[in-house]
Amino acid sequence: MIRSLIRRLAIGVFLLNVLAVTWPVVSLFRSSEPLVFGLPLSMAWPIAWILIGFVMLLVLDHFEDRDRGE
Amino acid sequence: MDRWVAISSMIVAYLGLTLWVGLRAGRGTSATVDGFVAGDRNFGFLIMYFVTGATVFSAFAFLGGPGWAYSRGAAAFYILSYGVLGMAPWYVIGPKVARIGRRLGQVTQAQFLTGRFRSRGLSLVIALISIAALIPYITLQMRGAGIVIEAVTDGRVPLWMGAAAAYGIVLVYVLVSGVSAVGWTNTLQGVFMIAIAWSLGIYLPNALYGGIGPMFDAIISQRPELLELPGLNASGEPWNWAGYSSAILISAVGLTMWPHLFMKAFTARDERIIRRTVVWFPTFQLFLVPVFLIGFAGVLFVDSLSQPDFILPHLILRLDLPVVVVGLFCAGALSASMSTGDALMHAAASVAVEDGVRPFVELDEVQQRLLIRILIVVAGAAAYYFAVSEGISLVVLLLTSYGIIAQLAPPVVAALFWRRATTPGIIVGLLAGGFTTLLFFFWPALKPIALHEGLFGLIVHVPVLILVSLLTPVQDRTLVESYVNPPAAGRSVLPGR
Repeated sequence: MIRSLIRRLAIGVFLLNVLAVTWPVVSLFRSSEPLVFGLPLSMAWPIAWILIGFVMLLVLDHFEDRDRGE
Repeated sequence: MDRWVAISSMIVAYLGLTLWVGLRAGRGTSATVDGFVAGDRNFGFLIMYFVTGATVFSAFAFLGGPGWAYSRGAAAFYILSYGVLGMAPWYVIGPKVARIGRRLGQVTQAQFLTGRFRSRGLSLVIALISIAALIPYITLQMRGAGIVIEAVTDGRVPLWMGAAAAYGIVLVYVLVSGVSAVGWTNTLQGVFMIAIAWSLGIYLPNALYGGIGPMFDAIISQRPELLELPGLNASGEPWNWAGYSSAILISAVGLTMWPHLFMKAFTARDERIIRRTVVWFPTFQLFLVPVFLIGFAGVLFVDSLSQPDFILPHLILRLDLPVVVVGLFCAGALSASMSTGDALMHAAASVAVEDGVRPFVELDEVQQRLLIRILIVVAGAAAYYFAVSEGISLVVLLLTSYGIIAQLAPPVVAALFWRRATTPGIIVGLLAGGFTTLLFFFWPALKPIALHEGLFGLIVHVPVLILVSLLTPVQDRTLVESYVNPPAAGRSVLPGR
């Protein structure tokens, strides 16, 4: 069933998010260079995860809403 | 006309507009506790979006954010990292809390918890924790408002007067309209602070360095250490990974446990609105990007400030900007301060009455609302007293209260998801977690590693909660099911308006 699949995916993505922004993984992205869209890598990395989280929530909500039949 | 007169008039106009919106908001809300504290559970999506966003991002974000970026560099990125993580679980928890609250007539966090874990002592403990955490938070917002007004009027309007003026207005609209005022003014203030942060965040790097990329190139060539994670600590030394990572974790856990945010679950018209608010919250979180850009813009232009929180007003004044820009900046900063401050004052008083007084003393509806209003004034006065008296490190207090507030997370999760949790388990767990947090706060030398003290609190809290629960008798089944599996409330059941 697609809804439970999406739910598991969401949990996975947010767990990955926790790992990505904390030590030790974040230390791979500690450097200020290169600049990504004009921003230091160390700043672009957490911003990227805000965007990933946003997309994940949109997808999750789409399927939750559809199955609720509203 | 003098510059400061023009700026002051803009501030007055802005405050007037806020007051007007706040007073109008109360019309159409019922004169009940449900109406005053939970807005008759009738907030729509747009209001919930701005209430959530504007409440999370306070004067601390608008003034403290640039201050952190300026003085501690990459350390500030922890604030970017925890918001969405903290909000995402609310997608599941928020609607469930709302559903239970609607059915059982709850308007506060303690009512929600004691609905399953019946104990007046627990209610009192939660009330005390909430108020102890909320007061320094209110104080910080007031100081923020006062600092901004003092700075842009060249000290002609001192901190005490600016804070009194801004919060006098907050007091009036919160007293008259209750949480509906918080909702509508936050919508206005949220729009203001986002628009102003983005305009300044793009304008300043361009005006000073010729662009955002060139700004960071310049900073990297002169202060290469500043932009490397985990940034610097308060005394300018490199920060450590344990501190950086645990700040993210504890803030994420604590975020939605703050009473003024948690209680907003009871204001939503339906569960769908809470879910959509969570989904769109990341767009509000991006507001921090221009806020940090403003702070970084100051790095090579302003020599070390003794109080980095002043970076924003300082920069604004140094640059000889058009009066309109300065005025708008003030409006933005005041928005950030007041939109959090009003929710905090309202929550502190509601919690004190609903959870601290009512379980012990019989009150009718009229008395309750009167007492909440009186306590809003008292909370405001207490916070104002701290705001104008120097020498108390509020930021330290606030960061510590995050550790304490995070201790409310295990009980909330247990109430909703763990059938075997019991009242003694919850109480002993909460006390153990709170005690551990305070212990490591007062004696940081005892810490085995440099983690946030609230995290140690949770490490002790959760096993104690589980162990004591398992050792005590199982709870009544109907009670447990009404929390773990609350019957779905269709829209047809909602009170029609």
